Amino acid sequence: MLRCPPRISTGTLLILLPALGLGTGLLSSCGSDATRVAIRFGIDGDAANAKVLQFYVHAIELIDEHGKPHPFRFAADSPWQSERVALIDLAGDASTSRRFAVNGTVEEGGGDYSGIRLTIGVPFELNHANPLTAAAPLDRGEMFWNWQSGHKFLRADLLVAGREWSFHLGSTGCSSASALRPPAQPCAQPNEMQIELNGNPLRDVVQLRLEPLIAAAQAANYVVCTGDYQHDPACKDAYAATGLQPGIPQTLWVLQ
Amino acid sequence: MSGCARETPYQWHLPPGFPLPRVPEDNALTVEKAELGRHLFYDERLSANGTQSCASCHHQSHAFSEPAATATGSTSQKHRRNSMALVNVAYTSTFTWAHSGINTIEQHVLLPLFGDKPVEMGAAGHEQEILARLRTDATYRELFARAFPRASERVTFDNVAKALASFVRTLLSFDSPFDRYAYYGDDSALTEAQVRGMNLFMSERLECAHCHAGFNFSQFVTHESTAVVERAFHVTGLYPYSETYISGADYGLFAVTGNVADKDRFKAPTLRNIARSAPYMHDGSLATLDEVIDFYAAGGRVLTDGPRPGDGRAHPSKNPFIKGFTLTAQERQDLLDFLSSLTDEQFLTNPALADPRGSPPNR
Repeated sequence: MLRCPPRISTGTLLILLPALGLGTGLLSSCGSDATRVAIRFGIDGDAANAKVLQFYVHAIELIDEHGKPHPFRFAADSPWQSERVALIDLAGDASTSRRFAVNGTVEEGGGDYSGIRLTIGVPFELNHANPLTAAAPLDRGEMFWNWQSGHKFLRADLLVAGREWSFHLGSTGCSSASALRPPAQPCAQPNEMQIELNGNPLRDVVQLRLEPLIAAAQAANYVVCTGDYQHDPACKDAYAATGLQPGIPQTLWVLQ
Repeated sequence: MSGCARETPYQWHLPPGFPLPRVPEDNALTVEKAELGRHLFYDERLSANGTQSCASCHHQSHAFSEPAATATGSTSQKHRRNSMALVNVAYTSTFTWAHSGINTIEQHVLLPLFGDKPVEMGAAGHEQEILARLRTDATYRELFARAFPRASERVTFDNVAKALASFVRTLLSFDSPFDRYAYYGDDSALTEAQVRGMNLFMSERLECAHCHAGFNFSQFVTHESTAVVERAFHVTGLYPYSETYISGADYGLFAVTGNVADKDRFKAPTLRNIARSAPYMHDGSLATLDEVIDFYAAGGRVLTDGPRPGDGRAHPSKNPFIKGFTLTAQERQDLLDFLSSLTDEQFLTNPALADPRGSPPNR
């Protein structure tokens, strides 16, 4: 990890970074004992298969070589991330922009990191509010179902062998007066993916693997899966890949 | 009147917390421009032969659509598409049924004015004649002076388009029972049947809300805080896929992009006031909401005759969310009841949006 050179200001350092040949994955901010870092995300697979690949991520921790977790603090960076949750957008319409990283800080002293924990989802207390009045990145209509169900945590719209298929993952079993009223209690199946990956999160990229999704699309004969993940046959394979079923490890995410 | 030039910023009347629409920087929305636009919208003199106004095909009582399946232009040429409702188009990101490049109302109004395939208002080649009609009218001289007090040359087609766009931008419908339930928190605004129908509409079983998404029930929404404008054109299965080009067929977005994957893609229009804007689909080929529900329940349509016979359900680009469903008689009625809750009577009858000459809104 890049350490703070004591006599160079943050601004100077940021200007120097490109000259030093350093990419955007590793940024250091100086003057405090917090280090500015970026957690990078990408696709493991052929991006040409993806029409939409978006997800929300929060609750990131970096694991040091002693197994100790170091909380990652989200930087406020609208419209892609708030201090609680970030939107990652890996693929889609060329006319719009993508987002491949979460920016934030981590306390100094972790040494070399050997793993990362993160949650794909939106915290319950933020998940069921009016998206029109919600702060970015929770203001994206295409990532919102309704007040009752909340946001799509992961939206994968794929083109497989010329056919469209979708897997939209979010909370189910949410109880409220109607689709347009938020639940007071957490949903029966929150379906937030809590993931732990081995590797150096400041060097490696958290990658979403398309292979399990493509296989799931073919197994489901391209019938879309957007709810009732446990019972709908169209959801069986995609849901299994999320690791949300007890006893079945996730196969969607790797750090490499 | 031009001596006391005063441009009054338009005040948006939106539900609490709603984002403001985006307005082009070179066409700030003023009360004066919208009022000029209202006069122009209802004025037949804007068409070359003086027979048609915008309102000829966009009737307020039909949410500014018209009951004909497809539109007919001022020279009796047939349009192949159904006149779209003009509801909350201040928030629309992409105009017409299937075009990826018309992104402002200012751009759009030029199409019906000057388009020649088909001729709608037929202004092309008659520009000076039409402008002269406006310049010689004392009412318009005053309206233009108020709307564009700082312009040296006021009565121009650029200003006509800006004024028309300004009026159309004020066609806002946020006073339906659904709005009172959804955005004002009034639990009593919807009946129990309407709430059941709304839950069905939003369900994964029916998937209506996937394309008819958000506060405008359309994915083509932009406003001051949208970072990304989604433009999702869909194949619904209304017509079968055809490899060869069938003369006269409307292939939607394909005609604009030339991309085969765009064949038969159209945009999901708003459903606001949908119970009043029959008939339905881009060519008005479904007469009632009952027929529309049948169509989506079947996952598309099979045509046995006509110019494009075949199985629309098997269209290779059909949106995967159009997968069919079954409804009980009660559920169907609930769904229809919900769709009726999107009717905004105030919008359909508001005299401020009607013909300033006072003709009845039900033309």
